[in-house]
Amino acid sequence: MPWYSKTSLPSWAAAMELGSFVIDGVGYIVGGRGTSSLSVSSALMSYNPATNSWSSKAPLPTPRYSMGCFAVSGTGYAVGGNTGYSVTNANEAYNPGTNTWSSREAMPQARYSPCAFAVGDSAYVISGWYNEAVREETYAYNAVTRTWTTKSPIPTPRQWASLFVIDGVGYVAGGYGEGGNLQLNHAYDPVTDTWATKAPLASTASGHVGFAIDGFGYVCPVSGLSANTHAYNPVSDSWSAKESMLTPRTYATAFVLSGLGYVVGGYYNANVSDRNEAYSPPVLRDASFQVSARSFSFAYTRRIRTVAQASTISRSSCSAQLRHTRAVIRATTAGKAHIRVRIPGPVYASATSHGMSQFALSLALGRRIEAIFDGSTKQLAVLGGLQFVSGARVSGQSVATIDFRRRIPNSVAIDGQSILTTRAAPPWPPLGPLRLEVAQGSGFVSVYPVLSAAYTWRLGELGELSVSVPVTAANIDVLDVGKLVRLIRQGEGIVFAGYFSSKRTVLEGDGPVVELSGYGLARELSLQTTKISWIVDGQPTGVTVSTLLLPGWTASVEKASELVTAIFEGATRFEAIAKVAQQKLMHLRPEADIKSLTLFSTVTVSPFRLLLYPAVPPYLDPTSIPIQKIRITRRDEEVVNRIIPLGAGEGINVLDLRWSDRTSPYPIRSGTTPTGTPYYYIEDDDSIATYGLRERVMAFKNVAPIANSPAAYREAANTLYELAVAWLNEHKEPRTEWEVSVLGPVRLRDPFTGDWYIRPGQTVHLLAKGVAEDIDGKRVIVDIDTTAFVRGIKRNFRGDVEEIDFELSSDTEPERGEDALSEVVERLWALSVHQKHITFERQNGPLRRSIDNTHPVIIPVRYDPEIRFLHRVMLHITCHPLRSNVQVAAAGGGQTTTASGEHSHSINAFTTQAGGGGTTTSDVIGDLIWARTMNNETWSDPGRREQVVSYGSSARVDYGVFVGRGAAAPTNAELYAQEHQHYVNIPAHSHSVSGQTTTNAAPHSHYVADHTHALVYGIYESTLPSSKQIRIFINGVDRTSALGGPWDANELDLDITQFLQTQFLTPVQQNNQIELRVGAAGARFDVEVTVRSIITMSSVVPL
Amino acid sequence: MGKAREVADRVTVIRALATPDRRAVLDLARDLLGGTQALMQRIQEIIDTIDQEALYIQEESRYTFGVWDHESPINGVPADVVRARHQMSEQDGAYWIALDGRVFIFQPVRGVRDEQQLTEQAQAHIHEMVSEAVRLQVIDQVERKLLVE
Repeated sequence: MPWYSKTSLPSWAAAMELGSFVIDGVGYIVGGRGTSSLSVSSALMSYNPATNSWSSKAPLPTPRYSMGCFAVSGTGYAVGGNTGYSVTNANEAYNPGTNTWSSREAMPQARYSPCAFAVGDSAYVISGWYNEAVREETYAYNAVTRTWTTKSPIPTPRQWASLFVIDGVGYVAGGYGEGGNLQLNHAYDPVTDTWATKAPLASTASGHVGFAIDGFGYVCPVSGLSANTHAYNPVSDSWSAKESMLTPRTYATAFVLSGLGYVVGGYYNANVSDRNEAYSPPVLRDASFQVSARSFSFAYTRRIRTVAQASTISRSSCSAQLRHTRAVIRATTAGKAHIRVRIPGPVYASATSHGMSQFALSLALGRRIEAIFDGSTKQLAVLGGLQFVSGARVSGQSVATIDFRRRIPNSVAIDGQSILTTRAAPPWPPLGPLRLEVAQGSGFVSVYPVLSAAYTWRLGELGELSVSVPVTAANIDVLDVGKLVRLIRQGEGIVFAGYFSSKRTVLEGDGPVVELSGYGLARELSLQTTKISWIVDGQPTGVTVSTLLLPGWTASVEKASELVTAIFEGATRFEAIAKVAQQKLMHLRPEADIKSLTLFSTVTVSPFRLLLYPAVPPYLDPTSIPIQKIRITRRDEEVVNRIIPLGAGEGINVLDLRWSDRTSPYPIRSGTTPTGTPYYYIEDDDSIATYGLRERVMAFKNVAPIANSPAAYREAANTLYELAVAWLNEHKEPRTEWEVSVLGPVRLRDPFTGDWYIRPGQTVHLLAKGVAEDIDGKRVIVDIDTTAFVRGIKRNFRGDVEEIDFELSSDTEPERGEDALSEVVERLWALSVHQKHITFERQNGPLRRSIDNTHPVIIPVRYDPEIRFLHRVMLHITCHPLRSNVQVAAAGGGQTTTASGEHSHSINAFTTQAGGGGTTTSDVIGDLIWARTMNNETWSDPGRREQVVSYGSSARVDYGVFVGRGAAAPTNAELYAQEHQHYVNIPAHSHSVSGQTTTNAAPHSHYVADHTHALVYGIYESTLPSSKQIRIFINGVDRTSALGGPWDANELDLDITQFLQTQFLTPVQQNNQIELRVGAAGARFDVEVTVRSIITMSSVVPL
Repeated sequence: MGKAREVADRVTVIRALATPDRRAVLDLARDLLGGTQALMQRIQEIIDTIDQEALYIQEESRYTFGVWDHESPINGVPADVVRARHQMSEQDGAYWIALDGRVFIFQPVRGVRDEQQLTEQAQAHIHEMVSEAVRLQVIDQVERKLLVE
């Protein structure tokens, strides 16, 4: 009966949609709800499998149900869920030691009914429901850094899915998706952050639970409200039906304790359940063991059915401990022990070693295994064409797992990392003693024996070499300072070459010994300098390095085409090359055996693994090297992943990255302070994703442009960028350095191909679980599983003993100490100058001009070449009414014409015409004036009755009046006037005109004679038009709409910086024109224009 | 796009809308439209207005894939670790699928190393996911239009 009834929950704690986690062998269930979704539980109950009892613990601060639960490092977490009223992103942590809850960082988004599991320090919350839909996101929570990151989304979002974890991979099976319940089974691997589709469930399911025991996943119930249980085999990727639960339930929770899967609570029979049932997978049956060694023989066969039947037997030096699913055989042997195991059923087994000559073989549900443990070599070999493929954690300790369903070459894996392959050994010669070869003539002579030798091979260094050989007649003539020497090891070839620079002979117990010390081959490059003022300006790196090399040397330069600018003031050639490498962010590795340098930034991977692992059989694999001692030499845990670098200058004049044109390795980003000031920075996205944003302003005050030119600013900003990149690379991740000592013999080099298995500049897998020496010499427990960067190798041979110290770092970036940073600054000679800035406001105007729609107003704005920055330009416009200071200004005359009707004029002036004193003259032409007499009298004779005549000086009558009757007309009287003149004398006089002249004539015209007016002075203003339609043209381009115009306002204050300033804060051009136009017809007024510019003028002065 | 096809039909839409979360929409629309027959007709009309081909092409453009060469790291994880974690032998092949440029599916295929077969499986895998995504978009649009009306 694989299902067992356990103590039920207290009835008050019965719930569905509850969560669970396991801490230190105790199961906890938390939260949940009743049949009403508003009946939400805050209960936390702990289950002790030893006593089969429940205890009440501190209640969940935020009561909820269907949350994601997991445990990391002894702390339980409840994230997300439904409070009954809303879906939450709450994250609360339970500390069983203090029985208290505390709030943690909330999930990026609220989730209801997600899946959750934890691996190592991180937990993964997958999918779930929020805001009317199932969600695809996967969120990872690092419980150490307490940060959330987003991972690859699940291919098919869902809620109420089951989850179980096998070998660190989370399997999400079934669940309720967009279209209903699902069969799909997806596996999430946090290591690769990828999903894979696996064999689907036998039927659609949701509200079911999952758990894993001994590498198998179990899900129940698989269909609807049932009790059936299915098991998933990850190796065959298949499901099989298992025994059903005792009580059918959905929306329960599950956890695993001591190899039993517990399913607690849930929904059954229209009510919440208090049931607690435990599942025990099939146990070892008919297991048989045979272990034979010289010192003992051990054989055992037994049937085991239940957990209760687990037992331990022991015979001689061998024992077998049998558990419900696992059997462990332990033996101690000085020689070889041959182990044969036969177990029916699926296979899982693990092999571990304890101490120098002990081993343990752990098997679970295996079919057959055969292995040999050699106590003398401490080596365990597995026979039968089987393979160790994956790791598993058992009781907190990693062990190698043997999976022998795959008949491929053997290998052993620990935590997923292969440590053993049983491939045929390569035909390498065995590792043997050292030999020293010294150049002699055109060849080399060998020096034997080598008592001791040591060499150091580090990045960026010449390398050091020391050798101790006995004085012999042959040796004493050969060994000398300055000679080329090679250190050759049998089975590897040349391991180091160089030159001796010192030699001394000492007396030791066995006789005189010559001690020689020197440097690697790169010593040659340190004996010649770059002379004074060797300047490289924008030259390809590869060419620069080639120029610096000596004949016979070669170099491999990864960034050969990138340009380098440097000044070498008498540096050695090696120092100069190192400087180039630093500038281009590359490592410099002098090769150990040939005259060659490698400048690289791409890190290669060594096949080696360095293991400090008490449970790992040493020497299982030539590439798995056991660590003898590990010492932490540096620990820099402060992480900075965003840098805002600032150079010389203060305030708005400070040099920053805005002028840099660099884009790699980090793009330059910008932001704005709350006060609107822009700032520029670089950041490492991966580091931010891992550790959260950690920002710092870095001041590199020595970095200043050497001139006012844009090129100088760009160069200075690029230097600032390089410094910032170097700094960021050093601090974007916690940096730890280790010195790892291992005991030989170790083969570092393939003797046939010359390939190095490990050398400086490579990464190596460092797996260390145990005791290490801290920086201060104290012993600390470490749990390291990381890729470490090899910065140096120290190798020491003394007789047959070989010791190797690997200098490792968690950081792969080139070294960038303060000195190195200074050199980058020095490259621009930036230390020798100082830039002086003056910032002030310059004003153009005010300029007042009249304006209308045909008369624009133009104000010129000029920026001098000395202006370094143009910070802001403001345009002020004030409109004024037209103004005059005289009343009448016209002179002239002419004709005024009116066509109007009857009107009158008032004249209020005097006529000033003076006249008189003259004679008016009229010539009257003699003629008859006919008139009619009143009485119609006539007379006939004489012809003239009366006459008034005047005689002039002549004989004739000058003039007179004759009255009489003419002869011709009997009845007419005739008045006849002789031609004459009148003389009238008009005295001088004047006329006064007053009153109204009136004329009834219309139309009529007035004539104004030419005249002048006297000016009358004063200040006279028109009024401002209400419609103006002011437009602004800057350097000929209409910027009206861009500035929000056209305008009718009487006063304008406009920021026109953007049209006059470049992205580098410099003026676009020196001579600018700002033109104002008026669009409204008839609008005529005065404008007063002022342009205010905030500018910085700078000058470079020597320090 | 030969693979593009109509991924949503009236039946699947109705089935999706009939799930408990969406049932209210379906009921409301049915009542408003005056019966199930009218509702089905209306749904078909809405589906006909949706350019599923375009949705498919747009969604498919987010995916890329490749056959794993057993050497390349997956999301920065060395190949040997990837192999170990998936318990892959030399006879096993795998393909990867990236969404918006990031590998999010690594799919081992037991006993298949043939590149053509793996490519076809990867394409089929993408087709399934794209079809599902398009189907959900169609359902979403149908639901919205039903709600708006």
